[in-house]
Amino acid sequence: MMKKFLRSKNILFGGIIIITLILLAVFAPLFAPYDPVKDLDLTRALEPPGRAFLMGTDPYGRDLLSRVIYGTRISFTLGLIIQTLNTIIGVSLGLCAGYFGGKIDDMIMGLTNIMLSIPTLILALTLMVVMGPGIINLIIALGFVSWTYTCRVTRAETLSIKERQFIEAARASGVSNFRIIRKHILPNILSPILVIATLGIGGAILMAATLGFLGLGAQPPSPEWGAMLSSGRDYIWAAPWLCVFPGLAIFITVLGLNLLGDGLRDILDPRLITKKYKN
Amino acid sequence: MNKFIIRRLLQFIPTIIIVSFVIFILLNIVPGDPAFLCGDTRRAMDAKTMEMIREKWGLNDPFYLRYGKYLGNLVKGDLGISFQTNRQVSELLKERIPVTLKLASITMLIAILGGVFLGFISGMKQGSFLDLFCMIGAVTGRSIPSFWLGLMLIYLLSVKLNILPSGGYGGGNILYLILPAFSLGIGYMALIARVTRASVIDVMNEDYIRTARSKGLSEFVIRYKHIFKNALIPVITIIGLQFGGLIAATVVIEKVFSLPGIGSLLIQSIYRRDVALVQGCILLIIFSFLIINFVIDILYAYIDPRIRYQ
Repeated sequence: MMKKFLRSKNILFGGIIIITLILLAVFAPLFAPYDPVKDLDLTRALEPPGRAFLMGTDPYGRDLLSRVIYGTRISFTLGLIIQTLNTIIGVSLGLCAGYFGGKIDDMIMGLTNIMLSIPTLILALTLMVVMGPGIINLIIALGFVSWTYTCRVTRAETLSIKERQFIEAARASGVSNFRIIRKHILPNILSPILVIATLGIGGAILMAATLGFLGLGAQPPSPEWGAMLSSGRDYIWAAPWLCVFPGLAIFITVLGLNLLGDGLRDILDPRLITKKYKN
Repeated sequence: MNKFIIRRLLQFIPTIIIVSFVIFILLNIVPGDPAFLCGDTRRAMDAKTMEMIREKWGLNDPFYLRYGKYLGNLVKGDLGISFQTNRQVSELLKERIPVTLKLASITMLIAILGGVFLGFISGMKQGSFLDLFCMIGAVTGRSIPSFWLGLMLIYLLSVKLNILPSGGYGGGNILYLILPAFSLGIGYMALIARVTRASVIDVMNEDYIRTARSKGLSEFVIRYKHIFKNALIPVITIIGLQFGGLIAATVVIEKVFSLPGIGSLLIQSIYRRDVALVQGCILLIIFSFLIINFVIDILYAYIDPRIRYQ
């Protein structure tokens, strides 16, 4: 198993990117030369990238490099929290729907279908309009909108495992429903959930940046990448670096997570592997 | 076939009603009194004026009555009046729809043509340099945020090289839509290329291709008549799945390029807290999503009879 992990190029590249970014996020104060918000100095506003400021400065004279580094912190925190919420909701509902079936299944799948009939971005946008902009509201809005895929996969996996004999044996020996779900079903469906969650973090980061860009997520002066791009857009003629670097950071982050997710899928999801190597 | 259409239609109508209800509830619990927003926000309004505005817009009615009225008007195509501009929401939407539709169609065209072409040639030459190049492009294209790509293209092609306009609609001139459509289309193109490649590889190893080869058919006929046509089926599925969400995705790109479509209207009305207009835009986007998905479902059933009996 370990050998497979090491041999996968996707996991190798994705892993290197993500580990580097996580280190940057955790040790941001060590890497960033300036404070991302407080170090204002109008005398050095809009300096192009150079030796003193590797990525240049913004209209308030703040160091862009420091802001991008601190942005890593915000984006990863957002991505992780949002995807954790989505996974918890999706897995719990999927397990209930698949295990109990009947009315409960109908209700949960009905809810899922309604969620699926509204594009995720539009639903998140509507929730942001209702709650108002801000990081906490962003987490709430995004944490509750993209659990449908996890839920459907969990339900399908649960349905197929439920019919196996060891579940029947457990039930016959009087094990409670909750314990069967927790001890016998959940461990058996972890790998697809892990793959979806990894790919989902990238999606969540992208969605958070999109809402930030639209002015509905994190608000300036927060060094959130999407919000930085939104204010950088007005300076594209005079100071293009304000658009280049925050966007590049989003791109590299999402790329790393996608590579990692693809690699995990190839290894953990045997059905896809058989499909891939069938020929 | 008719039975299938009727069955899908019976699922479709409740979905529309439920979704419009959800959106109505969400937007009508917005904190902040809409009556306050109708007036001049710079000055405090006296209670009498507020009451007059409430009465005029029917804001004093109970919630269920307002929803009933709204739904009734919705069926007639009346989406209410925009608080801020005092114009019919449906009228405002009508002005913006062509822009968004045009952008979405050009985007889809770019994505399908580019994606199928790249996927097909890299699938045929699996493992070649070209294949590697296309697949790296597909991974990159999937991860690149469309709004950042848009900004970078503006910088390269408008600011630096001055070839294409940096934004605006230019009265429908196609030149103004090339960059937005390309920035939005690249992600879809990457996805379509990936699916096409996988499907071409699958089909190439089918028995009927070996049969065709052993019959001595020319390589040209095998490629375009046997492989290409059969490989397209899963590609059509993925195109259908993506197309519905495309209208929603235009929101971001319209902001980047200041295009006067539904998306920028939505964002503007959000900033102004013009609830009726926000509601109109959102419902329009969701309805177009549902209608596109509905039509595509019917099309599938037409193409692939197996689906009808599921």
